[in-house]
Amino acid sequence: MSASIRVLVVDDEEEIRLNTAAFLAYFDFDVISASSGEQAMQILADERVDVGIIDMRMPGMDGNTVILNAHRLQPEMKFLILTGSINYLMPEALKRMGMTDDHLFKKPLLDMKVLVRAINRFVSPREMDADE
Amino acid sequence: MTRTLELQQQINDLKKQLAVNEKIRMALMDRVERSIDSAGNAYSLFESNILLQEQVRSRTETLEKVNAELHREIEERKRIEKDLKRHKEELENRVTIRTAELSKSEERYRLLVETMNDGLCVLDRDGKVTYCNPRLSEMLGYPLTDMHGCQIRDFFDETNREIIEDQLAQRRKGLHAVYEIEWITQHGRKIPARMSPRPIHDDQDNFKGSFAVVTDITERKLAEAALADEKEKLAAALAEMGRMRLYLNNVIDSMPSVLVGVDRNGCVTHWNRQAQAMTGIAADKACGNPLPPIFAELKLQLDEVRASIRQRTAAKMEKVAHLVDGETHFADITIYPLVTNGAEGAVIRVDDVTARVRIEDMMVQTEKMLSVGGLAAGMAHEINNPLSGILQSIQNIELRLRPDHPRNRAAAQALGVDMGVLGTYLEDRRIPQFMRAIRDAATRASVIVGNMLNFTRKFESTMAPTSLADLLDATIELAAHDYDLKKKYDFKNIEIVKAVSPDVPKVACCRSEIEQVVLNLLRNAAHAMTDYTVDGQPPRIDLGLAKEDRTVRLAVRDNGPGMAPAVRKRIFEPFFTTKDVGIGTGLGLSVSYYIITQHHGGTMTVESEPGKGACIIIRLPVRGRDA
Repeated sequence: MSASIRVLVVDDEEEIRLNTAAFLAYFDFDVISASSGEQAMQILADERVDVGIIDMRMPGMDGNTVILNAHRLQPEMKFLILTGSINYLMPEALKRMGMTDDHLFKKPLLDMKVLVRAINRFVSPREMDADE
Repeated sequence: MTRTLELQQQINDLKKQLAVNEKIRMALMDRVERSIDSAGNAYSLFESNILLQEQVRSRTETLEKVNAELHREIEERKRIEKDLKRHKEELENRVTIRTAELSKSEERYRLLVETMNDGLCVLDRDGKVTYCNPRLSEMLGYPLTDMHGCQIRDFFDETNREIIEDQLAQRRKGLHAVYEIEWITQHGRKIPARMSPRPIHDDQDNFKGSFAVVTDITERKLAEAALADEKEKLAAALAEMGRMRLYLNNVIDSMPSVLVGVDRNGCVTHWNRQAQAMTGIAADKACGNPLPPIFAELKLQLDEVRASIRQRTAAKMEKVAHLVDGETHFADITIYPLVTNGAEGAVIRVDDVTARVRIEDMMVQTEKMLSVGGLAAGMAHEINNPLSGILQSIQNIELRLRPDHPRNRAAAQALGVDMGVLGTYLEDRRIPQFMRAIRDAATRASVIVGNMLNFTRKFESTMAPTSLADLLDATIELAAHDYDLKKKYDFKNIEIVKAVSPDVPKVACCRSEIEQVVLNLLRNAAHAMTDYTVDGQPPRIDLGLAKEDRTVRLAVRDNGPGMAPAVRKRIFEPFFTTKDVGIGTGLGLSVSYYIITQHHGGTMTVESEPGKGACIIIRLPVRGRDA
């Protein structure tokens, strides 16, 4: 089982946060969610997370900062960016962490399974869930 | 006088004889009286008395005649003497008057000579001054007395001395002509003078000397010099003016504008090369005649020209539409009244602004696209998030209704619901259909936002030399598979004819983008021909590829219904569509237009008339946008 992969969904928009979390949960990921960067930081201070799915444009702490701070707290953690911005350019700091356009997903996702595949690819190929 | 004395003597002799005769007669008479008494010799005595009387009478007659003649002669003499005396007196009188007159005239000449404004000098035969008038002395600055007796040549410098010597030589020959010379004054100043000379001869015609009137022509010379200077300046000014005129004419002729000069009656006074080019009327044919009819087509009424001249205000008409060879052209017309030097008239300037108007239209077009782009960029995030909510929700609903997933089954079981029955219920109520509708609608909205974002996309894609002929083939291939029942067209039914000139070079472009454009055009053409073709012919698309200067021209022509001018003008506008709702987004052509004009620096135009098909023409610079 892939229950050991813990995913943190960070998005200020409730419907997206809810749907993303629900969809991933359906595929047996251990999903927790946060409605802001600050809340995400509180969670990460106490709990280990394998992968974060991070929205960019949020009130307060923005997605890039969340990733940088989270990376400092848990250097093993992976990140996927899910943004509605059309002109998002990945900062050099994130690229230095090894992130590429493969980690970048634009809203709206016509099929959320791309997230499932990405998580499995970046985090835990061993524990790929074959369920479709 | 002798004759008179002689006559006097004769007269006296006769008188003495007469007295003697009388005495004789008396004695005879006495004797006769006495004889009568003695009657003897009476008759003889009578006879002798008569004879004697006859003699005396004849003699007296002669004497009286002589005496009368004498008297007449004496009278004649006296008259002659009187005449002589009168003549003499008259003569003496005249001499007196003449003498008085002469002395008066001499006085007058002297006065004239001494007060005249010109100098006068008299020379003897050796050129020595015998007389000069005060004016000459004043002119030369020498006292009169110093000048008398001087050699005339001493009043000249070397050059002029030659002249004076020559002149004196001429005078000796009796020649005289006015000449000019320069005198030197006592103070060394030069005085130019005009000399009017005459030789003087004595009674025997021997050369005695000469005189000359000397006119100071300093002022005239100065005036002449000034005049010459003026003339030179004038000539230079004229030459400059000529050059300027030529230059101005060149400028006027080189102007890209039509420039026409008219007088107040609207007759042409100037006609530049551009006017010639526009009207095809030569300048010499146009000048002097009323404005040709082509100006009426420009809606340029003579009244407006006159009003402009009268009010002395420029009048301007912009973007005046008129037909040239059946095509609409635009002109800016300005009337400038001429108010200089009372020359009433006007200059009419006509600029063909067709190209500018078209560019402006294009700019408006581009601006619209950019504003759509800007709008899209600003709104995309706001729209994408709710779209995300919709699309992600529908995905979750679909997932959670699936009957085969253990979690779904478990959840249903816990509630006593049979998944199979639930599935049947949903199908029965057509729930999946509604969910698909939600998904499709949201997906379409997402595609529209994506298309709008095309207008903001920064194209960093590399431009590579591409064979457009190959590209056309590939795109036709692509289109052949693109058939859509819903959109009612099928490329299998459309004849596609390709005409490629052999000299078409490769074009620096982004292949995928041009493919997108061509595919879009093929789809549009196919769609247009579903309901109508020209003369009911089979639907057909003509693709043309040709080299044109530094561009390659790609034409896509269909034989569909074409379009009205109102539609034609707007087809590149974002969101403008003639297709039914739900079939076109109204962005296809405008995105194509954006790709061609903004990303490739090309042009995209349309030619169409209602009922006669349509042709989209794309021109791409061979060397890419920035070449």
